[in-house]
Amino acid sequence: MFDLSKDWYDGRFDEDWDPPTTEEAEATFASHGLTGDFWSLSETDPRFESPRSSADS
Amino acid sequence: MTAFDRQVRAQIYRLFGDGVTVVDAAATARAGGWVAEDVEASLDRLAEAHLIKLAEGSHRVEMAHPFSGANTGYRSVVGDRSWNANCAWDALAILALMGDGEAFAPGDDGDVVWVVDDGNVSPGGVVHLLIPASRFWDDIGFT
Repeated sequence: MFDLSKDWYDGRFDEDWDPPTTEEAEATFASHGLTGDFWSLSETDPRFESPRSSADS
Repeated sequence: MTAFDRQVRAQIYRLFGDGVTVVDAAATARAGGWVAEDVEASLDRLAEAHLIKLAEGSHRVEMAHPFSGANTGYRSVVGDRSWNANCAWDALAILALMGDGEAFAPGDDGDVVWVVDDGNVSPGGVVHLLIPASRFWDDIGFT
């Protein structure tokens, strides 16, 4: 979990941080061996889809 | 996310990182030199986007992962600084952000303590997650 956290929270203090897309989030999980249905975001809440693609001014 | 929302979100993290325990619209507005009402609207948007969680019926930040605005029993300590965390994962995650130290999680027989030294965690252990990732935000407090 510690190593995952380093990747998951990387840049969180920065103004230009963007939340991960579904694909990016799943890739981060997978890079730490977290795969399968439990870690799948294919049918997920808008948390992993929204801000970057919405109006970004 | 608007440019202002980005600034507000980053300010929230700076406040938590600095050890502020009550991060609300007033504190965020004061720190950023902004109008409180503008910050309140921004906090609502950030919460709607699941980038933070607000305490029910308020503009106090309850969660800005991995930081918690509540005393959950999960906490992280680096030297003489400490932070509230939302869960065991977040207690370790705070150390990933803030540096080597100790992460505490409440257990049946007292706190479970992990020590992070030079990026190495000891002792080993298992963190049980009950909710699949796609459902984390269905009830983030329970998650």
